[in-house]
Amino acid sequence: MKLSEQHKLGVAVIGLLLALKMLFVPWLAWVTEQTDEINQLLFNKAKLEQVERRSQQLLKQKTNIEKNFETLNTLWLDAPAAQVTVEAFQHLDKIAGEFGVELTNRSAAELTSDGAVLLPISLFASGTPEQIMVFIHALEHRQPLFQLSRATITRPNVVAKKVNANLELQMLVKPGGEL
Amino acid sequence: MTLEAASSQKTTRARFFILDRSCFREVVRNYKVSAFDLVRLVRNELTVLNAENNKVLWYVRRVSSGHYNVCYAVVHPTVSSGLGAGISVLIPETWLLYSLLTPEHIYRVESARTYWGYLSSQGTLHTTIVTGLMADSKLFANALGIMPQPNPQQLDLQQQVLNESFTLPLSLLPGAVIMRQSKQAVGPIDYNLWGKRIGMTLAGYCLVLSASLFGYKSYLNSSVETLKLSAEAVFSEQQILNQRQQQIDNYARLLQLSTDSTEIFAAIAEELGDSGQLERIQLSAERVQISGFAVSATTVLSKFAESNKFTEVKFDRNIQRVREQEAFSITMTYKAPSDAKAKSGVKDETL
Repeated sequence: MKLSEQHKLGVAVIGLLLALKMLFVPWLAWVTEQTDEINQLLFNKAKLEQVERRSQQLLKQKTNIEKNFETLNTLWLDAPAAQVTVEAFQHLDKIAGEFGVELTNRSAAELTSDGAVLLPISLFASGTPEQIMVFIHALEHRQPLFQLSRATITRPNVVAKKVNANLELQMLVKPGGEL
Repeated sequence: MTLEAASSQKTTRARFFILDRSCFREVVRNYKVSAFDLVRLVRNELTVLNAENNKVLWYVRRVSSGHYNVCYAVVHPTVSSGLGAGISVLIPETWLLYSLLTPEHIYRVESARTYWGYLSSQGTLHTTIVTGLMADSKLFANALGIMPQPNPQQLDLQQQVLNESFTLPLSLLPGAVIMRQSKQAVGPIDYNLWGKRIGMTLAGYCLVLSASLFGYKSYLNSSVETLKLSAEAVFSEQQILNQRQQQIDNYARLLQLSTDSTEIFAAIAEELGDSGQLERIQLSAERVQISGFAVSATTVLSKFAESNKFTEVKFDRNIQRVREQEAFSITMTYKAPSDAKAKSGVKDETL
C-alpha cells in the first residue's frame, strides 16, 4: 500500500513531534541541568580560588602567630594535667632552695580555665626580706611563669631578721592536649 | 574569432582565450594620478564602457611614478556569451604585443588579419592594418615619425601562442578574468535529502554540545576537587592558627594586666627611705597596703602622696602613738609605668 504525499507529510510531522517530545525536550532539560551544574561549579571554583589567594595572606600571618606562640610556649608549664601540681611544686622548691627561702606551707587548687589555664597556688614562705624579694622576682620572671595575685609580707617583731610571706600565685599552664 | 590556448595542466580549471582584433574594440587611456584616484577612474571608465551588456577587459600598465597607461578592450556580448561556465581568461592579442615586441622595432604581425606593430621606447603600442597605402612599412614608419626599417620583423601570433611558451604579466590577469556560473536546471526540492541533511546537522550539533558540556563539567569537577583538597588544608590551618591566636590573646591580656611585684616593693622602699619601719606589706594586684612605725606618720604619707608612682594615698586607720613613734597604716594604688607592662614578649595581635 502506498502512502499519498499528504499522508507522508503527516507521518513526517508526527515523527518530528515525537522526536521532539521523546528526544529533544529531555535533551534540552539535560542541557539546562548540566548548565546549572556548570554554573554552580564555576561559582564554587571561584570561591575556592579566593581561598587559595587567602592562603597566601595566611602564610604571612602564620609566621607572626608562630613566633608569638613560640614565646608563649616558653612561658607556660607544659605538663600532663596529672603532673601539673607536682611540677609546679618542684619548680617552687627549686627556686626557694636556690635563694634559701623556707617554704612552710603550700597548697594548690584545681586548674582554672577562663581563656588562659592557670594553677592557683598559695604558700607561706620565711626568709630575710632580701631573700623573699629575689624569690618573688624569680617566680615572676623565670619560666614557667608565676603571677603574683596577692602577697602579704609581715615581720613578726621589730628585732626579727626574717619575714613571713603569704603568697597567692597563679602558674601559667599550657592548655591540655588539644594543641 | 578566438584562439584557445592549450593548458599543460589538466587540473587547471581556468581557460585562456586570446581574442583577435575583430572581437574587441580597444580604448587606451593615459592617467597621471595617484593609485587611489586611478581606481576611481578605472571604475568610472568601466561603467561607461559596460553599456549594452558589453564585457570590458582592462589592463593597467605603470609607465612611471603617478603615470599609468590603461588599456580597455570592449568585448561584444556575442563573444562573451559564447564562453562556458567557470573561469575564463580573455586576453586581447594586442596586449600580448607589450610582452612580445622588442621596443623601437617594426613588426609585421600575422594574425586573423596582418598588421604592423611598433612599440615605442615609452611603452606606447602602435598598430595599423596592412592594407592600401599602409601595405608599405616605410609609410607606417613615416606616419609614426620614425626612421623606416627596411626589413620589418615577422611575428606569427597564432604560432607563437600555440607552439611557443611565453610569459603573461601578472598585472594583466585581474582585468582579464571572467567568471560565469553554470546554469543547471532547478529540479523539485528533495525533502528527504534536505531532511536528512538538517537532521544530521542538528544531531551533530547536539552531540558536539553534549560532549562539550560533559567534558567541561568533568574538567570543572576535577578542578573543584583539587581546589577543595587544598582549601581544606587551608581551612584546617586557619582553624589551628585562629585557636593559637585566641590563646595568645588570652595569655597576652593576662600578662599585660599583671604588674611586676618587685617593682612595687622597690618603689615602696625608695619612697619610704629612712622615714619609717614597715611591719606589714600587702599587695593585691596594684592595690598596696603598708603598716609600720615612724616618727611622723604624716611625713610617710606625704612622701607617698608626692610620689608619681602612687595614687589614692591615704591612712586606712587611726594613727596611734606607741612610745615615741606613731603606728600607721596606709593604702594606695601603684601606678605602673607604661613600658613596664610589656614584660612577656607576647604581642597581643589579632588576625
